[in-house]
Amino acid sequence: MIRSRTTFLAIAVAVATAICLWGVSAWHANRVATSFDQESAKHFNDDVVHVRAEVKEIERQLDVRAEHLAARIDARQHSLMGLFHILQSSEPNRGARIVTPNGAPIAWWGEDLRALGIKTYQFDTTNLYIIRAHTLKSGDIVQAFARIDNTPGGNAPPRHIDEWVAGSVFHGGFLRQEPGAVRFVVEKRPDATLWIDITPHTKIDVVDRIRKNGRNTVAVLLAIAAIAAAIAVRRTGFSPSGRAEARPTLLAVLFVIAARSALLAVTVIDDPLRIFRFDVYGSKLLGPFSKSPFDLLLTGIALFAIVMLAGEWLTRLRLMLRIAVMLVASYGFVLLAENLVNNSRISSIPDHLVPTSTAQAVLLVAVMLFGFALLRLAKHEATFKASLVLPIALALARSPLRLVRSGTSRDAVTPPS
Amino acid sequence: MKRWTRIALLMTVALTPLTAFAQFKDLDVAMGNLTRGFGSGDAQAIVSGMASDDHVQLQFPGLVPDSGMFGRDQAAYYLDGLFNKVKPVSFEPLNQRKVSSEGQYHITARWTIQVAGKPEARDLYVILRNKGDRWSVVSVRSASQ
Repeated sequence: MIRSRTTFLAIAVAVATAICLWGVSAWHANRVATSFDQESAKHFNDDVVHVRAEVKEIERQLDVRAEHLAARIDARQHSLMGLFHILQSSEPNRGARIVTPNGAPIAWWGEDLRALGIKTYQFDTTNLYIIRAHTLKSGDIVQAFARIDNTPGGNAPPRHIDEWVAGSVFHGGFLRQEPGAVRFVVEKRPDATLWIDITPHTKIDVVDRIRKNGRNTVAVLLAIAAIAAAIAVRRTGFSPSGRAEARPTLLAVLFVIAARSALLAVTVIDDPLRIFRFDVYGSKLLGPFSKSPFDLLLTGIALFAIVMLAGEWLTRLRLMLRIAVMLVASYGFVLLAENLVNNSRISSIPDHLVPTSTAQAVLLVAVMLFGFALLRLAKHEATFKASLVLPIALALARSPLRLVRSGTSRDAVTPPS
Repeated sequence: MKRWTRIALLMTVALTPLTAFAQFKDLDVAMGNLTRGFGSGDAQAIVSGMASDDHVQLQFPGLVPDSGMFGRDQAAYYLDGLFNKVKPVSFEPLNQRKVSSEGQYHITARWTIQVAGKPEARDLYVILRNKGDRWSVVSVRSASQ
């Protein structure tokens, strides 16, 4: 009883926290709406400071690498293959090369430097190269460089996108500034200057995102509280003989439904995995409970949990009634599968064992959970005599089925007249 | 009637899907629904002309980033999203052509919408296909601005 009281106290605290967070989120959204310009300027300045620090760290690493390579090369005479061997490295997006004073490459390793390599910051169509050089005793130059993705719309570090930033691009100062974009100097060197143009989200978008983030946090907290309540109720819901009691079971089921319903409020804006939107899968069969692959998965989990919670209680139902429930549930499962095929742009069954995308994995797990829930419904504990009812029902249903099947196969082999 | 029998009956009734006639009965109904759908932003009027087991091509460049083939329920979400983003003002058919050899009916219309408060007019290309004695929407594409 004490443990149960503590659990419910914790749940009450979680619910109260959720309500407080909702209020804080609403207040934050309101504050951002009233002082959007100052807030965005502060946010972009902080972002640029962060980008600057990352660029400096990359330059420091490249300096260390160039000096280390120069020390090794200058230590003794090397063959051409020896130079290639010295430059060898497995660091991703990094490379090194040795060039003559007029820029002709002698040896190289790693990323391909698609630029002349005469300045600290150089660009090709989709990349920024940060290059650090060290002159060798021979007069040749060793260059260590990093390739940074600079694709429009990309967000590979040190660039990023968040509720304030819609996109950003590095450039050398010659890029035409897009309307609304804000320009900052990241780093100034004697030979080159690195700039970044940040495209901000609109005020409406930012406020909307802050509200949605707040709502998502609240929804997740409420769902966790409801699940904890379901577990607590379930733990206490057994009779002295060990049988599950109906009322606590029903209460636990209601908490699971409440948890699932709370998660309907979750809205994910940036969805690179494509599991929160309808474009891969979206159905109206279960209303908002099946509007995306993620929603279908959560619904599958909730249904499975409900069937597991109520399973023992369901086995006590009369066999005929359970058969009726099973038949209705099976029919529902077939409808769900048919609807899934009609409203999905990918197959939920992988061609091989491993799903090829997260969306496919999510759909597969969701369908499997619905299937497992159906199987749990079919779990049968009865006397031999009572068990005979189902085979007899199936035997009676067999004749019409055979007729249908023979008719179908005849249609398939008969050539059209 | 026993309590369990009542529950079983209720469950059967609740879970039995309502068989609704999707697709348009004739071309007049189709034109009426499309005009209502694209003229006033009634997604359901358009979706009612889509077959549940077919995929529909949807393309609204500059308005919705996604395009391609969608199932009927996906199309309903797609059009809901579209009409949340743009406010339709009118839908005026400019040209209607029956392509009997392909069992299709091609409609070109002038679609006036409001995007972020600014009026915009686009050409809309709708293709209907004859399936049995009914017409279903197979493609809706908008010209880019």
